[in-house]
Amino acid sequence: MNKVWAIAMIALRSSVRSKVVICLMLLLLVTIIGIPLTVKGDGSPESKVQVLVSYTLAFSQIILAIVTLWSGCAAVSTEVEDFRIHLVVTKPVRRAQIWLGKWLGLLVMNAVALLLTGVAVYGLLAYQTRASEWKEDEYARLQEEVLVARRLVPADMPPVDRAATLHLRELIASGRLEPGRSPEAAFTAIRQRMLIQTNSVEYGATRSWSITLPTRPPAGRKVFLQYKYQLGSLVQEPVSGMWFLGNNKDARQIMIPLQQGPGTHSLAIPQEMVGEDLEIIVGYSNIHSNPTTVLFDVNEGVQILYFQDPFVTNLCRTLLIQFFQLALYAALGLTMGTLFSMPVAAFTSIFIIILQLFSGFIETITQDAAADGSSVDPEGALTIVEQLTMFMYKGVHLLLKPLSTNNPLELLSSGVVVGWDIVAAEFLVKIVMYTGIIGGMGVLLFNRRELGIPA
Amino acid sequence: MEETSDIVLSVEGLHKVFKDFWGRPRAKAVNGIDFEVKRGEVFGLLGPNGSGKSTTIKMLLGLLHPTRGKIHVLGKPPRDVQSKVRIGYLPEESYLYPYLTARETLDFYGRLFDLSGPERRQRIDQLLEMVGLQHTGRRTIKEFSKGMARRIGLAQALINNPEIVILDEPTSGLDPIGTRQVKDLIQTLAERGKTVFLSSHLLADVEDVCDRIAILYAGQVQAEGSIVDLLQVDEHYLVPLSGLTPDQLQNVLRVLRETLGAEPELEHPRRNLEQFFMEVISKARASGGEISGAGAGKQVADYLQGAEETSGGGDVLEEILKERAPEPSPAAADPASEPVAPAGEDLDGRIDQLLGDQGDPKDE
Repeated sequence: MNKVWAIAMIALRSSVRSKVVICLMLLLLVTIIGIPLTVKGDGSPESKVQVLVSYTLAFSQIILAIVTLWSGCAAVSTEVEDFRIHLVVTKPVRRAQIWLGKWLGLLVMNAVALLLTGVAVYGLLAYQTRASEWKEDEYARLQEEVLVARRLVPADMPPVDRAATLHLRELIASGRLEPGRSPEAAFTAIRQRMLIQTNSVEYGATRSWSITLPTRPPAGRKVFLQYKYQLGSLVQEPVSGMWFLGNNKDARQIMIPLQQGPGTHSLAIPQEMVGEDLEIIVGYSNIHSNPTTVLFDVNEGVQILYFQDPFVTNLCRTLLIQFFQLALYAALGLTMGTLFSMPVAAFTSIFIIILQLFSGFIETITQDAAADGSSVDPEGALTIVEQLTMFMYKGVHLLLKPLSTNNPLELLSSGVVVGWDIVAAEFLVKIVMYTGIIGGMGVLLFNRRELGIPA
Repeated sequence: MEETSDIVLSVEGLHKVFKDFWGRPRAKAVNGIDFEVKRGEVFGLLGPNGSGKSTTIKMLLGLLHPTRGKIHVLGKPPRDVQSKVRIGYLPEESYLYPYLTARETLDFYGRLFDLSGPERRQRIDQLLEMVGLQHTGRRTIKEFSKGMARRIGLAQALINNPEIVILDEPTSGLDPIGTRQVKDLIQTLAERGKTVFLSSHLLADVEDVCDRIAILYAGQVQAEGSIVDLLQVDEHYLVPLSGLTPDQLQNVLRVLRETLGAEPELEHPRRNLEQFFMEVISKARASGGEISGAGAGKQVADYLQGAEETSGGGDVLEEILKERAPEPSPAAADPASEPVAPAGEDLDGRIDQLLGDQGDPKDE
């Protein structure tokens, strides 16, 4: 470990001495200080926190990602190019130890940078959200809804899968399935339609959702109902409605009038409405003066939020997830630097990152093609080139899909808990799986590479 | 191949062909070479540029993979990690981290050998003193002259007290003092039972220190053998004589003339430039002149000397001058060219007789 640590410290010193890295670190400093001072948002407590937390951390993550990729690519490739690596590989050190040492050095750099970023963001946040800056109700909302880590529990999923399967079978049996449409695509469409139906409340109708909490909310803390909806009509005006709250044991119903425009809203509900079996029944009556349907969002239509952790804990877990991402980038840069010379390694790494960023777009392409082949070629069958392209898209999508996970910054800035389950999942995917594979490849290639080729 | 007690480095049928991206042969750098290096030997690899010296050294160290052939270093393949504990390597250029100080550089390489903290510190102190860089303080390698960086390169090659030292152009970039010091160091290492494998363009340096050499050309060994065997001219003799009066000299020449039946060639020995340079620098230092770069350095680090015999810590310049000054013959100054004993008994006896009590021949 002494050897690995020695190499790590050299890698760290090499990185922080690079002019590119110094410039980017200065940019990071400007970002941390500059964004909260210049970007004001709409003045609400939520937007203030969003600017500070979401934007600052997102920008600093981008800068650190570039720093890490650059340093990772340079760590091996430049030492191979200027032969400095000769004096290391001719010592009793395995190449895996050299790779690991360099990765560790980049991790130390990122850990320090993230820690400083976290402390700076938290300090600025504490300063900008101090009580004297806000009205009493705004400050209370900041403390209860934004600067916390609340557990978010969505409404129980209606059994649409079974219903959609039954419906699909009926369509196939009766020969009403559209010609050329695959059963999988038809199932997805039917399921989506059913989900929309179960989340829409027609004029004069009442619909209810059951929400089962995994744990009892802590005493003395507020429980929130958060809902997101739009209107079936073209005019998205504020609507009149009525919320009903209850549980299986307590038949009591609490009526809260709804008079808000479409979007996401939340309202505090009495904690005693959480039943002994931790279930809450939430109902909504559409009593709007104009006959229109209220469409609750399929995924975020009706949710319950309650206090789980302090904000700082959430911030730490978010930084940890960012750290995993940077560790993956470090491994990617190192492996590319093992394979290629510096500029090629840097461009290849950036290309892979861009592919990852566009993985959503690639997913859409592959899904469109799966749903309806004719969208690619209106004339009918796909050409060989198109099939190959699609095959490539699917391969890239398959490779990168596990990396497109939750955005912890969005959760953090909206006061939703970034749970240990997310942290563990990110660790498994980004460190164990992807860094493991990329690092393994890097070590393998490094082992096979001839390091004494004349320049 | 298991390591035998005698052979520490062996190369058999070694080929190296550099290929392009598509795998097509681009250059044949090494074309079937064989040699063996014995323990305690100083072996020199000579050859013009592009003859395959550096490629061979890189293959010995596992930096390049042979296209064909076998290499065993200390009985192991060149990529064996454990055997690296016993190898020291000085590359032809100083591939060091420019932002580290001399001490940090040696500490880093010491860590790669898993040396304990106190041991590292002790060795670094001795090595820095040996190469004359103990006063460089916080100066980083990038502020060093080429010669200073070379000295640090040499020090790092010895931090592990290696059994076999591989030196690629060890005296390149060094001043005469440094060159002399390196040559003395090589000899001391050999005396300590260590094996030295070196390549050099500087033929005089190789001649001074090597026991055996191989000359490479076009990737092949063109000549191989001990320096003595390769360079000795059997028909010629050199008889160093000192302190002769003109009469004694005439007597000697007369005897030679009578014996050989021809006029012998008479030459006055000269100091070589190295000796003269050392004298000039020594005088300059005695008059108080100081330089900012590397000092003269101590002879050899204690741990390299072995526990039973440590150097007195003297100045290498003084040591060299002490050793060399009384020697009038260039042949005597050259450790590789030992004086050749006259072949004929009668010639020997007649010279002794001629000198008699009048002269005091130099004690060899």
